[in-house]
Amino acid sequence: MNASLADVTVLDLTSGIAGPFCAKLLAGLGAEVIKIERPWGGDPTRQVGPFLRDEPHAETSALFLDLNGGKKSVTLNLRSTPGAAIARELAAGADMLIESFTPGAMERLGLGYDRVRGSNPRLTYVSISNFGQNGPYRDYKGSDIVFFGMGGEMFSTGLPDRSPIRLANYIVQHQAGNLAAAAALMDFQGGSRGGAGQWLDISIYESAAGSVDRRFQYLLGYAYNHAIPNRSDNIWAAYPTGVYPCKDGFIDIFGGGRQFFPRTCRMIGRPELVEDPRFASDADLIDSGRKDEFDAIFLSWAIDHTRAEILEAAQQANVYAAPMLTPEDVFHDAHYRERGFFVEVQHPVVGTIGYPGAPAKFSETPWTAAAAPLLGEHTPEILSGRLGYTSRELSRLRQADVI
Amino acid sequence: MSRLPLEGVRVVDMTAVIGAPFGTMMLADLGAEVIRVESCNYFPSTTRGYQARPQKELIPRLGPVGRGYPDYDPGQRPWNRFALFNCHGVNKLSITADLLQPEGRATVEALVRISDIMVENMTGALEKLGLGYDRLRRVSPDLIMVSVSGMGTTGPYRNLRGYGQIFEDVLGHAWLRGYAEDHPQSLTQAVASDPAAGAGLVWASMAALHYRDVTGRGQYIDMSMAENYIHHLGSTFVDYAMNRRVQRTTGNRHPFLAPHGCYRCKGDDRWVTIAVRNDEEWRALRRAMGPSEEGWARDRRFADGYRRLRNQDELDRRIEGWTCRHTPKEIQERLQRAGVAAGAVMDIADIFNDEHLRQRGFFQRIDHPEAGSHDYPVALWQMSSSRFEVRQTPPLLGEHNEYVYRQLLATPEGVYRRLVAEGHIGMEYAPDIP
Repeated sequence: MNASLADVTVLDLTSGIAGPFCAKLLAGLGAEVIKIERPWGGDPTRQVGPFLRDEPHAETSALFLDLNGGKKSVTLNLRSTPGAAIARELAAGADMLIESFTPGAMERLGLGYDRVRGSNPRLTYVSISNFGQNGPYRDYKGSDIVFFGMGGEMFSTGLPDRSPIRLANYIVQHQAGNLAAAAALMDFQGGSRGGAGQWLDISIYESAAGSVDRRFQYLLGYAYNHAIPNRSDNIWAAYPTGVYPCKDGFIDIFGGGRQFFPRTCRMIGRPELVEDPRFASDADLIDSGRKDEFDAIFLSWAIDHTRAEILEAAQQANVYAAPMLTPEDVFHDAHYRERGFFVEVQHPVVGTIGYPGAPAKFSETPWTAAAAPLLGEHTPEILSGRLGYTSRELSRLRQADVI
Repeated sequence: MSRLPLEGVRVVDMTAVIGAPFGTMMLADLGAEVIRVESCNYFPSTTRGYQARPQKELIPRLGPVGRGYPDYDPGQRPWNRFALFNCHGVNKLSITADLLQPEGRATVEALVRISDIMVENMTGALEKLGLGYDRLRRVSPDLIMVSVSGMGTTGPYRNLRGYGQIFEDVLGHAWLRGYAEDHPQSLTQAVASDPAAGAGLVWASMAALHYRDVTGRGQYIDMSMAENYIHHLGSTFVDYAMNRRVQRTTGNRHPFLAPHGCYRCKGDDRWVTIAVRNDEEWRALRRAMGPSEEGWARDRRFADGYRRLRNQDELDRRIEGWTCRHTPKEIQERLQRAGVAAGAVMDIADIFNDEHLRQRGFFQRIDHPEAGSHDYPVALWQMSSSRFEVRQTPPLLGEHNEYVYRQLLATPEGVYRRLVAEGHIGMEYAPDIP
């Protein structure tokens, strides 16, 4: 066995982003992930761009390809009686079940926790939903910007005279999937240690409120002193902090305060500023007027240096600073290349695809990178190979629109 | 107390700052015995404070992390009253040992010998101290060791130091976010890669634990926060790989859907987000806004997704004309009732008092011996038979020295007293630490 979860089977009844991301992590760790898709069109993210050459096609969505690498796709109409029965058969032989239907839908399909655990008490059953299985917002609709806004971080993200601003793409939903993978594997460990599996209720909203950015700290900070962070707040009042332009782009720096300020002065060749009375006391080092004075000095240095030069200087001076890279820079950067991070996989429709590789490097059990499945690619393999359906039964199921 | 999944698992926790402590907190919440090894002679900034002994009068002027003390008062032992530490400290134990001395290193080895997992984010320092994986695996051959670092332990950037804020530039997130119009200097300060690494170290160590259960073999895990987080932006990189397209921020807008944004509401600095995914939801929004908006909303310039996207400036202006006459909560409730995704942009007080989170038991009261009694965010999700429970209040520095040294490690009395005298075992930072 050369993958951590090589002996683990996951029944993946998710679509969209959070659930598929959770199952993708389990697939990368070596689990056999059986992804159930609607016979018509499959997972809706198959219809979401960007697509290869911007031509819409169910097999070439970058979003789908990224979120479903290494899984097996089985088409199954869960709304049909035989479809739900097949899903129950698969659940009976699985170690984990992950689902992302709206609360209550699994019960209506005959796939609710109480029913499924009857034949498999060790099953870890993970429900990922917008707001959780109970509570006043249970039936609310969600989207990344809505979760981020309600989760409390957006209010203090951005500039004071502008609207709050979200983070990139689908960050909150990814973090919900990430947390769900952590929760699922902890519970699975409990099952392996002689306990029973449980029903885990993961709310994307709670993952925003609790784990995007320094949420716990901010919430407890409020409990401690009723401070409400807003868009005028800098994480640290110390300077220089944040993004500055340089000769060939932008850099980000954390170079202020008692510990870092002297190093920053030396880095920019102005060691005398350490003794300058303007920057003498701890109070001066968080004063906004002084910040403006120092920023002018710092900027005139930064604009004369490239990102690479600043990175080099910062490393020598032990200042926290780094270049702002575009996705293109990152993709070709020598660091990620040397670590073999981006990998190439073969896909029957797309051809060669560059994928992000191991999110963590395991010394014994390397990350498994594989292409996303075609819609229904593994239906015969799983139904015949795993459940023993004959080819005649399969064609009957196909005619009845079950698969 | 309910049975917890990780009962019987022991973790040595040598983590600092935010992301990795967030991860080891989850292991502790789910039942592992997580023992933090700290030092009275070394103060890792941004863990138990910005400084060990901050000046009281400056605290209200520090940023939202630095000022997190009860009533802005650092008290006698500020390191036991710091919100950033206490929120991630729930259910953990704390001991002290000076790793710069041989006795301290021996303590770590003794702990590793009786533990399953070691998690650290000391950016190479353990290696230099002779406590790298190569050494520790000799102490405990089936050890699972997770090293969390910004960029990983190999490669040209392996020595790059920083916080999540810095690494998000090196992995592309800083480029991909912010306001569309004055990209990219409007970089904002939210740091999402830290908690992502926290969850990452949990699934990584659990996968390795399962592998060890099956094969008897431990292993080393090199977790780069940057590489872990690139997966949260994965489609951006697949798009680049397939199409050579370099995505840029769209601000609060969505590349294909409109309306999608953050709109000003009635009140001071009050906002709501709205995300419409299709024509059906657009019609629902139109009905929910009511007759006063019918005139413009029925305009054929907004009739389908393509046209709404093309006429988005006008569309957003019109919608904001409506939202600014209502509170965020009114709009959230009205639109959600109509089946449209919308939510108030909550500030920290709103979320702290949110009825949904309250009903789900997200917050729990903790009476802390030095920080007082407050509500802490605790339950990150819900479980059918276990519960998130506070078995141990966030530990004071060195609170569990007695238990760990005497009970777990069976340190003889004479040795224990010597370790106290030599500054290994204690509950205060050395007086010369600012």
